[in-house]
Amino acid sequence: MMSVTLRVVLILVSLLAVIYTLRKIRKAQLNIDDAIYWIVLSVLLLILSIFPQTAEWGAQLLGFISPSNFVIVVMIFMVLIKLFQVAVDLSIAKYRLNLLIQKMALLNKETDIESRNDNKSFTEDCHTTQNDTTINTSISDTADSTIKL
Amino acid sequence: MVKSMDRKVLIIIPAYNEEKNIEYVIHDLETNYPQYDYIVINDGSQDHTHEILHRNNFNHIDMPINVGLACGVQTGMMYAYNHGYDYTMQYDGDGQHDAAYIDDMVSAMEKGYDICIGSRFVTSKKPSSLRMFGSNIIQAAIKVTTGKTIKDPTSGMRMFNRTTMKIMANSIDYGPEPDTVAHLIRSGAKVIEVQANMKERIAGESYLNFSRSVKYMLHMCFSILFVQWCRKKSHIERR
Repeated sequence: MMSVTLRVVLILVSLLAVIYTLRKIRKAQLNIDDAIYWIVLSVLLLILSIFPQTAEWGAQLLGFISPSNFVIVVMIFMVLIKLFQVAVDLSIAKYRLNLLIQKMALLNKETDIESRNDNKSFTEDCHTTQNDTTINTSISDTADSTIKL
Repeated sequence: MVKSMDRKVLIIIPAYNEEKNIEYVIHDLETNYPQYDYIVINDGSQDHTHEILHRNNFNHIDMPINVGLACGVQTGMMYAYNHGYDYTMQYDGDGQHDAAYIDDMVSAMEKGYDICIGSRFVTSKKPSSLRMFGSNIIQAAIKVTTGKTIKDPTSGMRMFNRTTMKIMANSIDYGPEPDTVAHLIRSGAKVIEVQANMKERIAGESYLNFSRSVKYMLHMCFSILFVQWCRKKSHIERR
């Protein structure tokens, strides 16, 4: 038999888990896709704590000495599966982040070459066509400011 | 047949906080080996590397943040592939590598190899030190899994052709390390080693201290001996 204390703790914890998950979804801090796992897990916990017979049945089926061991093993497995999923997601996220940084660096490189070439031809044009020095400086000022932008 | 002189070669020089060495290394390349193009990958250096590159108008790419060697070199591979280079190679920014051997490496590649390693131990014998012991273990691991003997698997001087360049540029987990070479050999890439002596680094501390070396060696061995088997082989195109 599972002790009454464990049952009470389980009921409280699973209730809190459900409430916490739903609140996070409400605040849009958790994707619904990711939230489904946690809702299912907390509902499962709730069922186990309200109907301990299910834990006893499972423990008997798999040959556990006590139902509480069964509950703990089930929870550890669930956590391990989720942990692995998170590791996979993190790997993908790292890869995508690196890819973005690489694309950004390469793009910066290309635009840098282009702006330098544009600037060169622009100033050459100024020197060949403009004789008035005041206009010349004002044009080069604007050219400088556009590059900074 | 195109002469090896006409081949477009891009030298990728990863640089992280290399203000003491980079100027010397690039000046050497620009004055003595103008036939090769180079690109410096400035991996978010916090020292004056960026200013030196900018002031001297060295061809470079700035990584917006520090991303690590593998990701930086991969950016160089992408650049080389996009700009139609025939061969690309990694070249250390700390002055250890000697560009005099690049010509030999290009000639070797012309014989139809996919990867050429600038190796310290083709003609000269491997000295017996702790680090070379690690090198021997990695060599043995590659021998066991691929059947090929790579005498200097940890050499950073590796040249790639269009085929392997494309794979290096576009795939996950193809860092510039021995396990990538082993995996490419298993995928069918042909590898050759060319004698290339290396110099002492000009200034600064090497990244690899004792514990890092051990960790690196274990990581490489695990990757070559075990992870290798479940990796999907890449497709090596033959012209």
